Amino acid sequence: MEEIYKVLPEILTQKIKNIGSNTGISEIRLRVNKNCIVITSSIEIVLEYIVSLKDILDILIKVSKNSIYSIQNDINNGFIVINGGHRIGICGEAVVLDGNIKNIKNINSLNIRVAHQIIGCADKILTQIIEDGIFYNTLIVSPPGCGKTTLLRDIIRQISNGVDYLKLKGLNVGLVDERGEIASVCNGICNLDVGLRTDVMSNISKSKGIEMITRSMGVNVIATDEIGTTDDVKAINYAVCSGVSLIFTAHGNSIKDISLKEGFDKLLENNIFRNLIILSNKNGPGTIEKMYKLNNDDKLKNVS
Amino acid sequence: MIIIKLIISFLIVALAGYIGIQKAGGLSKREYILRDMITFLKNVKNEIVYMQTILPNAFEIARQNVYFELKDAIGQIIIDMLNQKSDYIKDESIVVNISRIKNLTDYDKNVFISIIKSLGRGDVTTQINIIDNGINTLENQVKEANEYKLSNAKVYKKMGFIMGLIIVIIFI
Repeated sequence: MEEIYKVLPEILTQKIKNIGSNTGISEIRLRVNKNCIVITSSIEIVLEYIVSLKDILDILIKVSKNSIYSIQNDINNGFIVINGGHRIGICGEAVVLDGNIKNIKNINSLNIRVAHQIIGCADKILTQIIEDGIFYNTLIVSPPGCGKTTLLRDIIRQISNGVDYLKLKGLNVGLVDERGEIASVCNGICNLDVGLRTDVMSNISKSKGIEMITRSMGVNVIATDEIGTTDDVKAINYAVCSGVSLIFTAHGNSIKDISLKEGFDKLLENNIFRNLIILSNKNGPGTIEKMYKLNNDDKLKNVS
Repeated sequence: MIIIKLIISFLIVALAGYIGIQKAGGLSKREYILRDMITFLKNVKNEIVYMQTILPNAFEIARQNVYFELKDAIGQIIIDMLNQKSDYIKDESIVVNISRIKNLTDYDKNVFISIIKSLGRGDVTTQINIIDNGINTLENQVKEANEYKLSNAKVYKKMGFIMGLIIVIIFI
């Protein structure tokens, strides 16, 4: 949290510290002319601090070290990653030119998401996705906020480092981190642990990133978050033909949900993914609702 | 006695002449500092356009290619930019450090101060526009400084010696 406090106004920093549960803070929401809201793991706290436009601008100036032009691409993408891996989401008026976002002006709200990593959260499913020292293609499906990114990150970390008890040697993992949520790269440094043998390509579309990493980095596994477009599916097919293993996530509640997405039905038909994990929020984020595995008849069987 | 008077007279004329030469030299120095400012801004522009280097780093890299008092002034501004807890302190530092540079007119200093203060607030295109406009203005100042130097440097030198002679004639 220290890195976040460095960019916030001093009075606001003091009010947040006075809450007393700094380790449990997951989000800090700042909206112009409205109270600052701090969201912890259990409750939402509305502070007696009205955020001003100057506060928003001062935060951006501190984050960019007096050089807003240097974070212009990040602003156009709608988020900035700061030291410590924390993400600042940006909302304002988009300036569009020739169909591309040229700038976001009159920025009126920020959402600071505190980075956190749960080491070991993938332990319970590793035995299902690694067999005889081999990692098999895996797809994690869940609605938003159910922990699929956190789970993905830990899987990447473990297969990159190697899993001794499952006889898996460390694999070269190519991670396409489009929104900077998985590895939280800031100034070229990964702020979250994604493993010893992981190469991260950030701030690039998934389809382009998958193709580039497959071609140039000599990886064994490709990983990315929230695949869903037809371009993503094309890139996945390219990666499969190149002989790399895959670990992806997708939005959805069930196999039926994702099979409705264009191109996904073909991926499922062609049995690209040997393991399919469905998550929910039933017992908190990361609850494994169902786990499917491809059996000898090339059909997905529920093994949960 | 006469020898002592001659020595004193010589010293007075030499001192007055030296003051005149220094004054003339100051006119050249103004031109050099303005050219240094232009060099500095061009280097900052390259860092911003091609590398999107953050401002303190861009200033530090550009500072390596300048001389005279400008180098020290920019160095202090960089330190204050990195330590700053508010924008106000950064702006104050720019005004104070640039104002200390000798041999520049108030207008020269104000132009440079306003350029430096405006940097960092917009996208790359805005930075380029600010820097290009600033360079154009400073180039006009260089021309003016050069013309002033050519027309007045010799006058200052001669005036120095003449004033020395007048003082000697009147008092000695």
